[in-house]
Amino acid sequence: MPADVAGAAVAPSEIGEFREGLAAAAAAGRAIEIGGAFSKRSMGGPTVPVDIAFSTRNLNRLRIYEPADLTISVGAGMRYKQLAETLAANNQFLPLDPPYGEEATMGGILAANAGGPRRRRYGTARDMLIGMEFATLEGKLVKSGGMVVKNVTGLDMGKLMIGSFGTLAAVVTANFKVFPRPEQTASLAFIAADAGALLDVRRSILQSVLQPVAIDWLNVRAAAGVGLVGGHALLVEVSGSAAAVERCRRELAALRSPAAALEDLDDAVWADVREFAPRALRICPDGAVIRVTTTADRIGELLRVAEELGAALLLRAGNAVGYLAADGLDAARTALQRLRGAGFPATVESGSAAVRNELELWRPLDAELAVMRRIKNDFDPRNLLNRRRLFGVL
Amino acid sequence: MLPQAALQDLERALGPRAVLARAQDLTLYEYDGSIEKSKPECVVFPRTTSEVVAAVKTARAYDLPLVGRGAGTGLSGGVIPRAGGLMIAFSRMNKILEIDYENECAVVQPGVVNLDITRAVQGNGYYYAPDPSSQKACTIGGNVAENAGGPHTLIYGVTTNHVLGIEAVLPDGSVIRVGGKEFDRPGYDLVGLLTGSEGTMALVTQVIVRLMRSPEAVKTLLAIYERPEDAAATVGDLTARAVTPAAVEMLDGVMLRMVEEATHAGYPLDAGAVLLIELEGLRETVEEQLALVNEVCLANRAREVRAAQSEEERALLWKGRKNAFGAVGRVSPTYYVQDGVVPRTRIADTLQHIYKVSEKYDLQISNIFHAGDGNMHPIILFDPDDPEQTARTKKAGEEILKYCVQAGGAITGEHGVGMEKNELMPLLFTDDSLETMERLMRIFNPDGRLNPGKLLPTGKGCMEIRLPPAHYRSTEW
Repeated sequence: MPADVAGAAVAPSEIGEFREGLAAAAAAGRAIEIGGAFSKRSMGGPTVPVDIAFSTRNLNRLRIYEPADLTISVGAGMRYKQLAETLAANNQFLPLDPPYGEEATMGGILAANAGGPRRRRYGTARDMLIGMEFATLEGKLVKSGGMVVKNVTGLDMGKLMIGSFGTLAAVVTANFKVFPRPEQTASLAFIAADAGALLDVRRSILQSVLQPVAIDWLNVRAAAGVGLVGGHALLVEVSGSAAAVERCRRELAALRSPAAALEDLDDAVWADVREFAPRALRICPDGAVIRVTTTADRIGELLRVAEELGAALLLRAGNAVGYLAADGLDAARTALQRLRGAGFPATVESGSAAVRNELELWRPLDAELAVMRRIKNDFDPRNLLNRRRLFGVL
Repeated sequence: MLPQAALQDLERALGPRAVLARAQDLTLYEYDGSIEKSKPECVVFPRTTSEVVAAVKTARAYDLPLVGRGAGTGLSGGVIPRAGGLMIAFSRMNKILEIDYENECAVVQPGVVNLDITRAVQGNGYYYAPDPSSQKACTIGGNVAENAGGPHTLIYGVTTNHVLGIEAVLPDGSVIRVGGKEFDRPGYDLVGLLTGSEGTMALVTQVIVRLMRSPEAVKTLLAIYERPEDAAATVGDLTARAVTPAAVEMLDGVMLRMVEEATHAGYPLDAGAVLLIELEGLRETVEEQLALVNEVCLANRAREVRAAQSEEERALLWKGRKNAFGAVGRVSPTYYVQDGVVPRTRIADTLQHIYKVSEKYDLQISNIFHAGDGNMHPIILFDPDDPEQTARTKKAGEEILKYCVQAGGAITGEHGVGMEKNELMPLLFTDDSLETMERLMRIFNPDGRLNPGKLLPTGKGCMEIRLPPAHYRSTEW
């Protein structure tokens, strides 16, 4: 395969043709890469040489959209941007906010389980996906779920595909529940030099009835990256009716203190926050972004580790999922050691080719890995599909 | 027949007071909330995960089918031991092990009653969101197995959206822990796969559930209609106006009268249908939406919209809804509850079809359902001692489910497939899809020992490998 995998990929525009092509390649024992726009090749595991690549980018049709049902069905190759525009025309949205949002396809977003700031209120792909079809290496077209928002008919195989980095099968269609757009939104930032003061603000907000849509923490270095200076920044988005937003603003303002200043923000700041990882890798192509999946009670400790490492850290402060940017291979190695040494589950989510080839990207538990291997082996016994793309392990 | 040696092994491992094997004791464990029946050969009551492991290993050693059981409130026969064998009842594993407000979660054993979680945390302003109608009795282990729903899952989702981690015993006796208090752990979403697998893949021994902040304000309205189709149209209009209530429940006239006679909730006896609408959130939001909902209901020819003025009034309105099945029990020897789900815009025509089916088969059907998410619960009243009527009931039920499928829906929204609808799975899924499910099931449950005869059609399910169809007991249908 040439380096330009997206250009060289076979990209059928019909599901039947896609399914047959994939099955034929598998039957011939060829190593296969599947992708959508291939916008997230720096994510997941190393990209290994393959014999053939398939792209879902031409499976990009709008299949069903009934606004009054608040559901939509699209081909996996539909771009997020196009989906967002389709929904916006009916004043609806799918609040996934993934990175690489300009190019990313829905299939790729699901495969990478890419999400964004508004997860505090709306969750992630697993909370929005209501149905899926995927093509297997055996040439099966498999359906999970459907077009209704509540459905327990059969095993929830769609969940298995989310975050699988295409190592099991190729997602060809995806159905989502969508949401009405709120009347108003407002974005605010608390800025504090002292992390402790900001941790108190964080707790007060999350324990209040206000329940923001998004609450993201940017440490000093990450805040500077989006133009916020003066310390750590706690970014909050609230939404609802004019009266509800006004009340949220008022009560959030009351949490301001000499140690924690409050600024109004342009909603556009969220685009910068969403693109944290792609931007970090653009600035530092030799670097890495490490995902730290921790718990709220350890946020303070994680902030200290990030500071010691001198690294930018973005944290989904409601869910305690952190993204730490390391400036190069050595920095990434040091950061991984330091994080894992402190007991933080740390996974290299994206990085340079060297980072993805040389580091132990993910450290799964033995028992859960054994089950995952059995699943992989059932879908892909010869390990042909997106080999090592699941953080080098599967 | 249960070998004597197996019984002795179980008594040794769990203690004699944790094992039941006398016929009269087993009768209590032959049914759930569905209309199926089949006795286990033995029931054990473990207190710990290691006792569950011991029981599972005994089942393996003596080649016994195995099924887990929570409170037995399920509506699809999920816990009916249709191949006999050993039942593991989780009623003694009923401890809330940890409440962790800082991390917004609780660690519970599978036998904890759903509502007890909310009761334990509501004083601190938190709650557990999924609220099946049986929430006073049903247990979390069963909720996870069935991916249970409830009226209030409209905004915040069903069980699968509220489970962070699971500890489970696999049919080979190994223990796995998947997920955890942390979100977004890398790898395949095994928590998502196991949730809703209807006890066919693993026995859940511990669950980490999410806790949510209780809303500041809650308002409940009762909108009264002459015609059910106007109530159905209201649901679509609420969506169009961007109102997302916490719950939208619909009861038709037949149902209303039964419920009112049983619970005196204040429902009108002469109406064609009512909607029970609940709004929650910030005070300001609720007040504004209250006005909007009122307007939408009246525009759709509601003859009256009443807002509960006190917590007592609100509780009474919900009591009527949540005790509806009990109310039906007063007027019919038994009933068959269905769980089809349709896109919200298809509620009105689906309801019309249900009325036609009622006429065609000369059966009384009352309707109570989660209108907000299109989850229909037609309740067919019948006499199980009348075989001809029973046969008609089954046919009517299937006809309704087929209509739901044709309308773009599914055969079960929250009750599960179980042994009630497993033969209908081909209505929705091709052989390729069913075989993929079966293979996933077999990864966890290779010899089909765990909960055989459920979820997949018995013609192709993995249970067939283990047991010929003749091994199954007749299910009365």
